[in-house]
Amino acid sequence: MTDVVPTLRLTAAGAEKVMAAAIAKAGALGAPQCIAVVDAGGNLLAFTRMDGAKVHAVEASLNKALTAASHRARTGAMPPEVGAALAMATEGRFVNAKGGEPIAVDGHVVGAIGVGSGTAEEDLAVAVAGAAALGAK
Amino acid sequence: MPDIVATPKLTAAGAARIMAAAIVKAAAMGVPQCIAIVDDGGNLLAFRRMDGAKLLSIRTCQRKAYTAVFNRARSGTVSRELALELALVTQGKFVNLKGAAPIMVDGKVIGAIGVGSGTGEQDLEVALAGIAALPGASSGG
Repeated sequence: MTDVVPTLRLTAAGAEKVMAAAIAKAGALGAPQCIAVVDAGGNLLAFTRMDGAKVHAVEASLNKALTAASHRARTGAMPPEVGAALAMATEGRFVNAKGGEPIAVDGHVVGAIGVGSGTAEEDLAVAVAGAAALGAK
Repeated sequence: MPDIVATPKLTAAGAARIMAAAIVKAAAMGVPQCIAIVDDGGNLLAFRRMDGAKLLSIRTCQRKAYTAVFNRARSGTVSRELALELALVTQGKFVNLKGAAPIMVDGKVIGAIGVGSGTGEQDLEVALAGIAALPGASSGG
């Protein structure tokens, strides 16, 4: 194992593309959303609260993005008992609800998008649309 | 006194306009920044972290914006003893650092912008440039 390896990093410009696509999708769905984009370390890069989105969803969208980045997987797939345990262990930062999607490029997770305020299906659709904007494979 | 009054509200579009101007200013200064815009309830409306901005500033810029909205004044102007007290009672949400200003329309605070990652002076300069982009808005100076 080498000590240092090259990696891919999501830039502010990349986050902007993800955000724009997500906002467009939410607008098309007629579902105003809170949308958060984080880097691979789960640190916030970009956030937008659309007019009409729930204030409560500010925190939820951030935590969904963090959860997707940390697990490098779509959120909301944990069995309820594991999800509850993880939520408690992380003081609520782990969220077992749909709407978090990793942003993967060439099979490498460079960040994640978290969406909240709509139904679970709306949140997921907006997150997927955002993540897809980066030419993700 | 009426029960309900009309009040100006900052929209997502307004926040985006302020954000874009703040980013342009920070880029022109060569100082990458974390920039947060909150509404008059202190709730986050928009956030951007520019490439190279400090991770610690993700939180501080949001708290600066929160501080400006609740004090209805630019951040970093409170006396040292009072600032410590306020930081303690708000569990660190009150931040007595320069770099945030209230967004005011018709004498009312409709939100605030908080900036962090540069010096206090640079942060404030970027915050004011953001507010200047909103027609009719002032910055509590």
